Formats: sequence, C-alpha cells, structure tokens
Amino acid sequence: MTNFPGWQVDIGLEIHAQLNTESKIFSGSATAFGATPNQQASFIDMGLPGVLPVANGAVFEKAVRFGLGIGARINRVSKFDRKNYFYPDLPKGYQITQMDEPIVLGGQVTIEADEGRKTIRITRAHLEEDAGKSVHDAYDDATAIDLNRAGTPLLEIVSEPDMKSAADAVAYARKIHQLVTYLDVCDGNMAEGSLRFDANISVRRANEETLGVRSEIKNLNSFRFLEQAIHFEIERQIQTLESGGSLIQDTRLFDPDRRETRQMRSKETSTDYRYFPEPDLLPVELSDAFINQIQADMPELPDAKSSRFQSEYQLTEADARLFANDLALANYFETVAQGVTEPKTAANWIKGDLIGKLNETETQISVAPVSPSQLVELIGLIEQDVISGKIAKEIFQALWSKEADSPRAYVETKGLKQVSDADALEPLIQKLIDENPKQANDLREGKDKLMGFFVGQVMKETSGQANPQQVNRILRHLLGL
Amino acid sequence: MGHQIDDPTLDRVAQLAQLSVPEQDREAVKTALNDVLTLVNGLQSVNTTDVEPMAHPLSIQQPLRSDQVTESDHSGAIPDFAPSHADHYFLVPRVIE
Amino acid sequence: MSVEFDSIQSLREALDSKAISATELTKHFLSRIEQLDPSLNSYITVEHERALSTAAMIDKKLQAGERAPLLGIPIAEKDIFCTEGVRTTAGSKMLAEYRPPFDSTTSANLAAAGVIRLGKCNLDEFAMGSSNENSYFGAVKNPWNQQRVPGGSSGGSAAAVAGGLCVAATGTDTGGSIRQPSAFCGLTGIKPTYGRISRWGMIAFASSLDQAGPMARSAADAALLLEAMAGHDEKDSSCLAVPVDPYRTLIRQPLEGVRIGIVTSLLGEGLSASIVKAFEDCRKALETLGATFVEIELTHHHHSVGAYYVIAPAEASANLARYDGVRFGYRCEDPTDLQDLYLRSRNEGFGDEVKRRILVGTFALSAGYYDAYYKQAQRVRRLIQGDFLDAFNHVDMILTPTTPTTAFALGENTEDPVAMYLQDIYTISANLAGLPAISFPAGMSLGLPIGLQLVGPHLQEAKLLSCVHQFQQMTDWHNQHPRD
Repeated sequence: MTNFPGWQVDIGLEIHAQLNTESKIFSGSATAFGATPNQQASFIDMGLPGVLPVANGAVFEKAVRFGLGIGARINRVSKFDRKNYFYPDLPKGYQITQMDEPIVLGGQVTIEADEGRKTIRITRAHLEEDAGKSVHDAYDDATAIDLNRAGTPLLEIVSEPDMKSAADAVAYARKIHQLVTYLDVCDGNMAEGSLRFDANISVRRANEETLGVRSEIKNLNSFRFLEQAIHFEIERQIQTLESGGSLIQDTRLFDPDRRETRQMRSKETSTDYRYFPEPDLLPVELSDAFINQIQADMPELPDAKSSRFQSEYQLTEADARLFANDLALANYFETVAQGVTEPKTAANWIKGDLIGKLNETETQISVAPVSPSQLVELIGLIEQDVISGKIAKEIFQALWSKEADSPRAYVETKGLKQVSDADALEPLIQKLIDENPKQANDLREGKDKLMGFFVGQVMKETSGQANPQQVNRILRHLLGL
Repeated sequence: MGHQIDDPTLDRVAQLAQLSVPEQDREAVKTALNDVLTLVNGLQSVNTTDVEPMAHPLSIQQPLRSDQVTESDHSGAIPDFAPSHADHYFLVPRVIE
Repeated sequence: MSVEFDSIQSLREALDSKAISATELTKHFLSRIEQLDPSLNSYITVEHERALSTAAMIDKKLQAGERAPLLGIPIAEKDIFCTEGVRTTAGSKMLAEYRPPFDSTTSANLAAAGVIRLGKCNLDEFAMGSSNENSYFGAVKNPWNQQRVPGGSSGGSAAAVAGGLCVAATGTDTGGSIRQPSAFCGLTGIKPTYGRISRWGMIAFASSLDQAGPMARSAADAALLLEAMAGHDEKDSSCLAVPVDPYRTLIRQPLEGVRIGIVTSLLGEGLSASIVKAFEDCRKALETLGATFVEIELTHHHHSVGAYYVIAPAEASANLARYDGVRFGYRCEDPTDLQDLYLRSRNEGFGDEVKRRILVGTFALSAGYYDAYYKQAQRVRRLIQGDFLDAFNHVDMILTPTTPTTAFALGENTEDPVAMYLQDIYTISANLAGLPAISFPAGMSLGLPIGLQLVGPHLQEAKLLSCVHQFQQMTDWHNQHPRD
C-alpha cells in the first residue's frame, strides 16, 4: 500500500523456481542441496572444452503441469536459446534459456488483496539453467566459485506489472509458492534458494498512462525481504521524482541489514545478450497425448481442495482454507480425517494442538514429531471412550516429546484408561453424594452449577480418569434427576 | 550498401566479447572486419521471404534422458586444470557486487 | 622396411601374419616422426611411451589370435579431440597445457577398435583457418613442397599422413577443414553427414557445422576409420541414432547407373586450369565406370561463403566464451580484478584470426544486426540446403573441385583474411547443408596434388566412398606420395 497520494505503483515479478528433479536440466548431476563445493559439478556443468548438453525429460513435464495449473497455453515446440554474458559463476559464458519460444505463454492467478480478489496475469514461463554460486567472503582477495548449482533446472515465471503494492506482490509470490509446491514442481524451500524473486518496480503519477522508469531488484529470497525491498524502492523512486530528480533504468540489490536497495556494481545491467538458437540442442516436440496425460494427472489445486474439504468433511470455510493452503498440512489433515469417525475432531486437534505446537517450536509440519497415524490412534481412543479428552491432551504432549510412541500402549503402561464402568463409578459417586449432603441437595433443587463440583471430586478420586459423561449420567440417576 | 564497423562499434563489440584491440592494431582490425562484412553483405540481396531460418541442418527432435543421477564427484580433478583453486573451489580475483 | 605408405589392408596382413609386430610398426613411425617432423611440424604432441605401451598390449592380443580391421594400426588425432590425461591444445596458447579429464567419443571409439595413437596433430587455432598458419605451435609444411601450406585447419593431420608419419589421421571439418587439406596433400578425406559422428569431446568451433572425419590414403582406408569413428552417442544430442553402414564392404558397389551432377558455373573463373583438366579427366574415368553426368544448378551456392562467415563466427563467439581464465586453460599473470582477468587472459591466449572471428560473430549477433546478419544467413542456409535436396531428386551425388588452386605458398594469403576465406568456396556448402562430402586425389600439377570433391545426400557416405574406391581401382593418384 503506498502512502503517497497522487502516485501509483506498477510491480511485476520474475520468479525463479528450481524444479525438484533428481538431476540437472542438461547434465546427470545431482541437484540435492548441501553438497560440498563442486561435488555435484560434472564436466558439462563446468563448461570444459568439448562438453555438450543433454536434456532431462522431467523438466518439460513439470513445466507443462505448471502451465496447465495457471490456465496458460503450452507451446508444443520447445526450443532453447543462448543468452551470452561473462560472469565467473556462468561457466560457458552463456546461459541456456528460452527466449523466443517459452514453453508456457499467458496464464493467471488470483490473489486476495485488500480491495478483494485480484487477477495477476502471467506473461510467460520458460525453462533455463541456473548459474553457480560466487562466495565472496571465504578467502582474502578472492571470490570462490562453486558450480554445484550450475545447471539446476529453473522455471522462470514472468508476470505482467499487475501488482500495485508490496502487499499485492507478496500475495502473488505466496500464491506462486503454493502452486509450485502443490503441483510437485518445486519444493518451495526458500532457505535453500528453491524460489527466488526479481522485482521490477516503477511509479507514475495517478493520471499518467505510461509506466515509469523501472528498477529491477534482483535475488530476493524471502517474502519478508520482498516486502521490505519494494517498500524502500517505492519510497526512493517517489522521493526522487518529487524532489525534481530523475530515475534511470537500473538493476539493484537489496541489503537486508540496511533495508535498502542499491545499484549493482557490475556493468551487466544493460548488456546486449545476443540471444540466438542453441545449436547443441534440437527442438522438443510435445505431443497432445503427453499434455493430455499431464492434464489428467493434475493434482487438486488449493481452491478446489478447500471446497472439497467443506463439502466432504463439513469443515468451516476458514478451517478448510487454512488446511488447503499448505499441501503438507492438507495431506496431514486428510489422512487423519479419513482414519477417525468425526472429521471435525481431527480438524480441532490439528488446528489447536498440532499447529499450536508447530508454531511454538517453529517446526515444519513435514517433520512434526506426531505422525498422522499416531493422531488417528489417539483420537480413536477418545472416540471409543477409552480415554477422556483431557487425558488425550497429556498423551499428545508425550507423543510430541517422543516419550510415547503408541498412544494405545502408553495408555496401557500408564494405566490411563478412562473409567467408564458403572459398577466402578457408582459406589464412588454414591460415596461422594453421602459425604456431601448439602451440595447433593442443592443439586436436586436445581443448582446445576454443582454438577461441576461433583464431577471435579470424582476426577480427583480417579486421577482424572473417570469418564465425565458417565459420571454425569450416574450422578443424575443416583440423585433422581 | 551494408553495415560498417566504426570505432564506437568496435569498442562495443570488443567489450561484449571481452577482448581489447590495442591502439596500433585498430585500423587493421577494422579493415579486416569490414572486408568480411563486404563478403557477407551479398546476403542482403537474397530474397528470403517466407523462408524459415535453419538453426540445425537436421530435422530431428531432441532426445530426452530420464531424470536420474548419473554423475559422480569430479571435484578431485579440479587441481589438474584449474589455474587457481582452493578447497575444491575455483578462485578468481575478489568480485564486489 | 618401407611400410609408411602401405595401405591398412596390407599392414593388416603383415600384422596378422606376424611379418611385422605392432611394436615394430610403431617404432618405425616414431622414428620417422623424430627424423622428419622437425621440418614438417605436423605433430604438437608425440606420445612415445603411451604408443609403445599400447603397441605392446596389442601385440599380446595379436599373438592370442585376436583379429580386427584396425588392430595395431598407428594413427594420429587432430589436437582438437580431447584425450584423457594427454595434452589437448586446439592449436592455441589458451590450452597449451590443458589435459582433459575425459576422452572424446571419437578417441574412445578408435581406441576400442585397437588403433595405436602416435600423437596429436597440429591445426589452425580452434580449427579456424585454411592453411595451418594460425597455430600457436607454428605453421605446418606441406610434405610435397615445404614452401607450401598443407591446407587447414586439419593441416597437421594431412601432413602427417601424406608425409608417412602415420597411417591415417582424424580431422574435423567446419567449412572444409578435412577436405581442403586432403586435396592439398593428396589424401582421401571425408566429412560425413552432420550427426554421423559424435561431437562429445571435440572442442567446438561452430556447433551446427563441425563434424569429425578420417583423412587417409584411400577410400578403403577412410572407410575403415569411418566405421570405427561413427555411431550413436547419447552424450551428443545432435548425434544420429542410425546404425553405422558397413562401409568397408559397401565400397565395392559398382558405379553402373550412378548419376553424377555437375554445376558448370562452379568450373569457371578463379579455378586453376590444371584443376579444370583433372576434373574433365575424372569425369571421363567415371563415365567409363558406368556413371552418367547430369547438368544441375545450385542457385544459391555463391552465397555459401557469406552465410558461413556469419554463422560460423557467431556460433564460435559463444563457444569460445568459456575461455576466460577462470576454470581451466591460460590465465594471465597476476590479474588485478575480474575484468583484467578476462581481458588479458583472452587477449594473450587467443591468436589474431580467432579474435577477428569472435569479433565478427559478436557483431553479427548484436542488437540491431541480428536480423540482417545472423537470421538472414540462416535463411539463406535453408535455401542452400534446399538446392541440394532438389538436385538429389535427379542425381545421386555431385562432383565439384575441392579447392580453387593447388597448395598455395606459406605467407601468400596471411595478409588477406578474405582471400583465405575464399579457399573454402567449394567446401562450405556441404557443411551448411549437413551433407556428406569427400575429397580425393585426381591429378598432379607442378608436383602438387589436385583434389576433387563429391557431395552426397544425407547418410550416403557409402555411395561416396564406393565411387571414389572404384575410381581408385583404375587410377594411381592416391598411391603417389612425396619423397622424404
């Protein structure tokens, strides 16, 4: 949201999503994160004399799936081009990318903006190879080059400048993040650089038709930095223009410590890339059968999943949306919901206890200490009246801390079974009635609040293991209510 | 009539190619390049309406390989050919972004 | 012992019958190299120890009864094919000390076929040249007349074979670099169909034009090498997945009914009279063998050199961007920063012709010029290929000269790059069209060989080889060789 009346902002994002293939786009090197320097750099990745690229078929499948997911047109003939420039982490002195004929054209996503739903149009998405990494601070007077990342497949997703605020941009970025993880196209791990943003920002007066001079902020790798960088940049541009200055089209980097953008030193900002068709790779023709198969195998997208959760599991819209938003969470919920009698119970446990604990300990759901099957077992014990809800919460903590592995076994070991047996409870309740005649009388006369007193007493006597519903029933029966 | 390489063009092209042309060679290089362009400029007269550019002499499709890891760790070979290296990194003079 | 000009067949018989051992044969060539190469300069690296140990290993195989067409035959490889652990320079200071960590597919295939590699041959730097005067390692001399060039860029390979310093050699051909030196040196050299031989490990000059091929003393010898070199390789996306023809048997096909096209407009101005005469004599000989000649036209042929000198430098400018002093190869001393590293390493590492072509190529691809130059050239390329494909509806192959003259003198064309480029006027079109083309000896003039060329349809190498083989059954040009 701009705090500058009289101005409007135009933002477009270029999102680089690393495709989650096993091997690189043009070589058989592994793509796994965290290898030692150049451990996953083959001779092809190093750009040694005489090497040639060979195309990984899986990248086309993933790109098509993304394209179908945004309702885009799929280019049947896919060809590659060389983008030529010099940089130490670009081993061949050119990047193999798609310039003329990107695999995906058009498409759109909807975001929830302050003003309501908004459509963000996507211009194109194309395949290309990632560059290596430059490490500037490992050695005095030298920059170290690690080519492990060189050749990792990227899908570059380019939007139209339809975003009008940092909030829009973050919403769009989140939406793309959700889509690519949902479609199993990218693992969405921002910390590992799986998704990176370049933001193109320009400003213009409210009544101005043409877009202003834009700056490109490169390599933002978190939603927070994206937001901060855009805020800074909008302010910088407007202040410059308002004070009579002018802007030049440039490329900038965001400094997260200072929260400001500054111009890149390298002269590559306005270089002529001399694109031409990659002669070492032939065109790839995607058949209708290929594309139709991918369409048929499309996973359910978040909006559809949310609707289904509402109808199939009777979730509220809020709960359905919450779960559907994150694929791992949605799968967790659904596994549990299918294993218990009442999906609502599953929803409550996940929404309350599980997510609460995950947030508290900053744990990702994919590595939650309590598995869906454990939760199913736990809820099952409640539904079968074996334990009370209160005891269940204790067991949940024990599962989380790995003190317990199987809820059922834990109940046995610790003797936590709910006491529901009337023969066991009746004498006890009768005893309490006898010992507390005044309260019993008040209760008979209608002071319902005292139910709690007796139930509490019973719980105390049974270390919390009495079945509260049973206690209630027996108490009423013995009191003649 | 075709294009000619003048000094600003030579500088721009040399910069893109990361080559430099020493002062004493400039004229000779420009002449040589312009001679090549004269040779090439005959292409302008060819009628190529509706003719697709041919990037490959073959009309075959790109073979696709399956998504498997087939490469092993080659970082041990780096000392054999790298002009400057340390700890399996390639080293270049410090770059300031 | 005078085996250095023997055919592979003859050497095969000698080796198999134990008249000579692989070790003796290898020693013979190594000693000739030692004696004669200081003046020819055809080798950049001679692999004495390796060759002898390979020979010893092969002698054991021969003794054990193993038999194969190329087993124990000493050959040389153009120093543009990566050979694991063995210096591969591309004729450049940029790679003067570079040892590749892997083998080219061609080298591996030949090793598997049992050849003994004597060494790596000299060439024009990064395969850019037509005289082998552009090598960092010095010019190569033509063994027929050491004041003359052997041709280029595979000049070292040509001189080594012609001079009896190896039995046969590998070359590469982007605009004529196998065929032109073969013509200048009296050899039979074939550039196969684009994609017939894998380019993995073959240091790239112009990716859509480069192709490896054999340079030998006869079509029969070339056929044996081609069979070993060719074949599918999944490491090269442009390599054809088509089975390799058994060239050595197919060369015996008779010429009866073969229709050969000639383009009269190519036989006019600029072509030396002796070559015109050799052309006519060859035509008569082929007619005697049963071929008929048909007049054809190749409308856009005269634009070949223009199109080539846009496309080849453009692709080269990108292929040679990796030579930046960062990961391998030459690095300038004490670079002060990145820009200095790039500029000095590249300026010091590359020779003048290479730099010129990189500049031309960069220009042709640059903003504002791409459409007029690169794209236009690729359109003209399609037209040139189209002309050939039309012609092949009426003829089985086309006979042309290989070169406009016989071997020119050292230094004659070095001041005039364009004059040098026009040497390739007959050979370039086959590269643009991806067609197979062979050069074979067809005459002599003033002690210098004359070569002629046959161009064929895609994957018709066997037809070309058999035509030349039949010609070589009734003529003797290919058997001639220079005196030491």
